[in-house]
Amino acid sequence: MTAGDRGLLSGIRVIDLTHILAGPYCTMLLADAGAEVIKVSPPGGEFSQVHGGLRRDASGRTVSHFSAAMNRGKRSLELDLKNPAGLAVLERLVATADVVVDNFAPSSLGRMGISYEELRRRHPRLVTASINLWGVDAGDPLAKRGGVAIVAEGESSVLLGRPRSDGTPAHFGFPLGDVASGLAAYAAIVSHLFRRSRTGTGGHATISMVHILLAMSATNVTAAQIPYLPGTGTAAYGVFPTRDGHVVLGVNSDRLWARLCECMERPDLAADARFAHYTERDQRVDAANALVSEWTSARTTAEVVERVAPSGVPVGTVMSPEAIVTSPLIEGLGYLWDIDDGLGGTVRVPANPLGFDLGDRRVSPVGEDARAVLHDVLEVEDAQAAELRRQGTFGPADA
Amino acid sequence: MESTDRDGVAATTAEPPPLLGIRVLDLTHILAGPFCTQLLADAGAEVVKIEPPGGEFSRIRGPQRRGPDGKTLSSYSAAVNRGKRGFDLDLKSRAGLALFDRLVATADLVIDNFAPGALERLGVAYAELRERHPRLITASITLWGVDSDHPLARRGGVAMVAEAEATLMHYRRDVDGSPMHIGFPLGDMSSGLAAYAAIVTALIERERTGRGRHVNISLVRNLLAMNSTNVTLAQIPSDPAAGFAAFGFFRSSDGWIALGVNSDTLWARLCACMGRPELATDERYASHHERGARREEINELVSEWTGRHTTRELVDLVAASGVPVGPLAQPAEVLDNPHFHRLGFLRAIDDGLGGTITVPSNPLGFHHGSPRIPPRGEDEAPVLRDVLGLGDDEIAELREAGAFGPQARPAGTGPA
Repeated sequence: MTAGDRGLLSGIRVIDLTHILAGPYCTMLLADAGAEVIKVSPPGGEFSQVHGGLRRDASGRTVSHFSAAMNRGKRSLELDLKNPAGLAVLERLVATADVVVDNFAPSSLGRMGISYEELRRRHPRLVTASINLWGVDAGDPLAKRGGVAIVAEGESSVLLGRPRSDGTPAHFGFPLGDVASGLAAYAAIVSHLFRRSRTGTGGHATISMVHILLAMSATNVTAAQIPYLPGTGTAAYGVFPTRDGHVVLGVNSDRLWARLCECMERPDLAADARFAHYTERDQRVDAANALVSEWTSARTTAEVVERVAPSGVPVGTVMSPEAIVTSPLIEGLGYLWDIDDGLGGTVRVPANPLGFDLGDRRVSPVGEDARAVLHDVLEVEDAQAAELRRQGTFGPADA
Repeated sequence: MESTDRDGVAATTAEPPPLLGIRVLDLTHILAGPFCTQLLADAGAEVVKIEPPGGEFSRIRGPQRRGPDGKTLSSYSAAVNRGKRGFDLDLKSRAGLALFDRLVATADLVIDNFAPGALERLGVAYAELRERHPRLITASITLWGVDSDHPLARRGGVAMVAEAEATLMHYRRDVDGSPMHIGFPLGDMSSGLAAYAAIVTALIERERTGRGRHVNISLVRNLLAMNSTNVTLAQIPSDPAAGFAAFGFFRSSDGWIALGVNSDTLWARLCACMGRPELATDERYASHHERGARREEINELVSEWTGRHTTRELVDLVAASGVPVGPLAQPAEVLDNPHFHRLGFLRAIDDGLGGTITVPSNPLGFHHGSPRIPPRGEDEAPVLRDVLGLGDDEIAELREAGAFGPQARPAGTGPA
């Protein structure tokens, strides 16, 4: 929130061809850090701009819950890339840009007549980035495999890292594969930009949803080679029932176990040879957890948190999105932003995950910034813009 | 024209790694911080990992691989420490703290993931370091992202608590309805990635302004952002009848597959795969809207079909149609996935004990040299020679003054 936060990436222009979630999360992070992001949507908007929960204003304009979550701070432009006039405008925009990013299937860009390699040859400082399921090009045997995040979650094994007790898989319930890839794409793009600041040359980043999830579950991969002894676990580490819900406890040392025992008014357990040391305790996970559950079950979640938090034992509440929107704790930390929904209202969204806060918080309705972008970026005057419109640059001319 | 990703990848690997010449003083421990600094090392930064005498927590806890000379490698350490060099430094000793200050003077970044206030208690103040070295970037990763005087600073921090507080454990429910742990250290790893992203952004800014900044990563804030769509959905609800059918997990005869039908075209293709083309034109199922309203009925129909085939058969058959499909792999199975090896997602690296271990490669596409995992209690002399140009006498003096920990190191357990 300080003035010093303004514009870490100021002067960087991003042509954003992304859709749905993974790509838009990446470009939102770029916009949050001060880049100028021009979101290029097909006429009428991309899938996530017109699906999901829709808020409507009196004149019929809408904002989707996806857009509210992913598109703040971007300038919105519709271009019909299937029309040569639309493609020509895109090429003019790219000529002024630092970054082009997409999350199409591997063969889609080629079908539209866009070649990143050719663009980088013409503009050597350009950074290009693609996000797809396998991180492959159109010629790879896996390129035809359709890509959605749950497939990446399955292939990388993160879904079965912890199945339900009956062995069935449980949905994460949030778009893990998408947002993880979006964050990774942001990280790769800024790495290329930093190198460019020293070498003068751009580059290409390919992000695979499967690869990033595999990398984030690296401890599962190494544990498969350096395994735990069967039957051991970590005692007093997990979810415990309370009178009105659940609480999370994270005892990971003997010192914390002793403190939890104090909270439970069972100092005897801290000295008990069966539980005092983790090598003993972790062989009696069920017995230790039963003792903890008995104590938590007799109290409300709030009571357990209030009792345990001052002791330094990690403790937490299982929050829901509905509840967190009005959480004074999260609000007090500044981790929720009220942003302009583009329709004259506001919507509350999670703050930038990297801690950057430039205060630019508005979701542009689809296509709203066309005139300004053409004027500011390409110096296209209104008369020329009207001619472009007649040519179907922004979609069917009568639209 | 064909897409050119493959050429792009080749070009990337031929170019110098992006962070060549950047020096990192790495005070991190366990997972979140070490994953960040491993990403920095993969991208070419020189990472000097400083551990307390005896090694940081992740070295000691959990299962260990034992080398021929008795040195050990924990599964945690193997996952997040490749490509770093390091040594034990006793920041509680005056000599150790003085040596730390000399190292800071040569560094671009100092990073930690201690609880708020822990470094200050050792006499290390980031604001002061940045005052003395204006180009220095400092970074902290903590649960709540607060300063030591905040009431939340005393709350102990593990990633699972952040996952729960940030709403990510709300959805995963066991058969009895109780919330389930995520099953892998999402909070740590994603926050390590976020820290990397923020640090490189700060490096870009420094190129322009000549000044470093402090990067403050909160696990809770980072994880909450990952759930942005559900936070906005709570305020802009969708039609409860809307939703995808044939989208989710389906039981095969020997496991589970994920299917992702999200359009009428893909539904028609799945119907063809099932040998039921009539379902694609059946007016009850033909449109997305109708299928959403009959989700359970359709999922049952699809399950009945998937249950008669093995995972392998289903993936082979459905993948060719372009319908998103994949197996739900068990963690141990990923080591045998031929795609992962062919695409370079997995790579065998030096385990620091004389063997190798297979680890996921850098997900951002950056590789630097042939990384190894620094063994616990590695010799400090080569690092100090390279980084500070110290001579053997000076290093011996520091050792005597307790900079690397208590003097009497049992023979054979430490550096020669």
